[in-house]
Amino acid sequence: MQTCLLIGVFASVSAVLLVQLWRGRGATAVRLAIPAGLRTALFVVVFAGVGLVAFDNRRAGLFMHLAEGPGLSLSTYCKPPRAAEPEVAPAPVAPVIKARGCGLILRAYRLGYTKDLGSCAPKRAVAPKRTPKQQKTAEICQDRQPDEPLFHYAWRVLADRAGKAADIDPVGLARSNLHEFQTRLGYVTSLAAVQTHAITSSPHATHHLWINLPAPHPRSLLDRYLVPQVHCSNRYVAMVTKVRWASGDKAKSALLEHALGRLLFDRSLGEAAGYCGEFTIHWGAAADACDKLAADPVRFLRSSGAYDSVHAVFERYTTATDLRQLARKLGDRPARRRLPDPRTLVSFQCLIVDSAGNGKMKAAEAQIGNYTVDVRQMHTTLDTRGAHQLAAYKALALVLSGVAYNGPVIQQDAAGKLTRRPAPVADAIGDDFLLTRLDVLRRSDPFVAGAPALAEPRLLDVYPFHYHLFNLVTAFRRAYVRQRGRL
Amino acid sequence: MRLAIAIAVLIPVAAGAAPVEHRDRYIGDVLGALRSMTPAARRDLARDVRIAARKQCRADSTTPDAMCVVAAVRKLCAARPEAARRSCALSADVIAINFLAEKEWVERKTRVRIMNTSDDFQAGMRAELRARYAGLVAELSMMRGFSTGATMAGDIDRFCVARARRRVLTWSRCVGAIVWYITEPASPKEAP
Repeated sequence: MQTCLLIGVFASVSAVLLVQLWRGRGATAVRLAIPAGLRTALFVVVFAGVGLVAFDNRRAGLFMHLAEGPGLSLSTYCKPPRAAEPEVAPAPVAPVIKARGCGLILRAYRLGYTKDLGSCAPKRAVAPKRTPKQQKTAEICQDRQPDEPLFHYAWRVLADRAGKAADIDPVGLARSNLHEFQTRLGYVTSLAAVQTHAITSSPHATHHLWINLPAPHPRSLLDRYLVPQVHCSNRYVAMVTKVRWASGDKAKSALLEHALGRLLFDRSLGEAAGYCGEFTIHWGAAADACDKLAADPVRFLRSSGAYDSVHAVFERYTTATDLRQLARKLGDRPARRRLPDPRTLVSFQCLIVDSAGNGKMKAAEAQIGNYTVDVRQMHTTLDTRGAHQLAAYKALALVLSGVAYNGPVIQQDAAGKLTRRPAPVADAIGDDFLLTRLDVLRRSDPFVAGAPALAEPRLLDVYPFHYHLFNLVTAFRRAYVRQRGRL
Repeated sequence: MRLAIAIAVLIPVAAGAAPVEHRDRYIGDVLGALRSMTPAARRDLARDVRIAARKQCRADSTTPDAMCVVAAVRKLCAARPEAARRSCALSADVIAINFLAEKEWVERKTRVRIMNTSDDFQAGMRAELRARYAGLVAELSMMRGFSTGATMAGDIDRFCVARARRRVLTWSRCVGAIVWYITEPASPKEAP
């Protein structure tokens, strides 16, 4: 914002000055056959371009805070020197007792069971000493002395500045500035692109998922104009576990959308795995969408409306790479220590719901310009009834992260041994000890061995589905976040 | 395929499970059983259940398996007179589930703090658990339409079903904590 303002002011003032200079030359000036207004506008554009090259965010910041730098301050005085303080013996410092884990030892000591406090013995806190540097800083004061006349102080500051100015090599400085300007001129496109990305809020990453089902909540034409759409970050903020779904393609779509939200964005299950604005679901995709994508990526992306976001991300990446080079050439430290791998910024997935689907993932690659993007596709069956709905979570987790979920690493069985095998759900059902029996379901992960409990309406309400979902989502996000980056 | 077979096998097993479909009635029975106990009997049963679970399930430091605890408590109640067995089983069920849930209610950091600062770890844990249960019961009492009358068991069930869908607190652990807290006599104030 500061930079834009500065460039605007610079371009306007320079253009106006040049126009005035032009007029002042009168009849002797070379006259161009263009109207005066257009000429002024042309100058503004030219100087705006120069401003774009000359000013970046750092320089604009420095310029804006120029007036705040050290200078002739009439209101700041040096503090009067303190009278020499008599040497006083340091006050006794209260003993510090290591608190954690010492309660019982101290008690045993007081009762006489032990004679040694060991590491819990009281320690004396050491008063911090002033370093020689701190002492020196305290002694020298460059501000105005309390009894110093104003003109003397002004002269002192002026002489100090003049002394420093004499040390400056104007030729070397000009050469250095020219070199910097020329270097920056070589990166003019990237410098301008940075401003464009900031103004247009171009995406920092983009991920696309094609699904061959209809959109779960299609918006009518009237809705699109009259009803404001809820932003995805609000939609996924507090999701409630839903276990009963209707049948039909729209219900399947709703289940997939719900599962995607829980896997990636639901903050009640931990830190979100991405920014929802950078994920796009393309509903109603063709069954061979990913084959087409791998064969001719640019054409397919253009036809499905995904090209612009992909192009913007790669452009942002190129800009970031250029700016790192520029910073290195100028001897500055790059804004980011390391750029993410471009493969992590863009991803394509296809989830095709198909009665003949085998649930296996197929990986391919798409070449877009100089960049290679991973393409993952899966043909799977999908049913919203009972335990079958869990397949939606597993299928999405597999197609998004490429890693199959095998349940929590270890669980404890009835004999106290560590095992991956889920506890039998039948144990949870009995005539007595209803509460304690149901605790068995915590060790029966429905995502691993299926969930007969979810097909049984009497257990459906009390099944600790959320507990197992949390395990699944945590494992998925751990794998997924490692594969994804953001500029 | 494997899933379909599992469902086909286990649905008939589940269908015969009477207690599960009568959750409200079970909660009502548990409330009645705990209210009928004297504070001393309540305290003694809580101690006996803990000892039995730790001894028979080798759970000195880890949380024991639920089915092992069920077996231990069943044995404990079987030794009681015939008339008291049903009441014992109902009360012990609440104590057992709260015992299994202790580490979920009080996280490790707080347990370490209690160990370091309290003279009696068990008393410190009871106080801490009581404070946590109180928070849950406060939420329950603010639930729309909650009543302490005849519908209370149903209200507890509805509250815990809704809660289990939002947080990592299972239905049975939620019910156990609430039932123990609201049946607690005014003094002494303690958790199992």
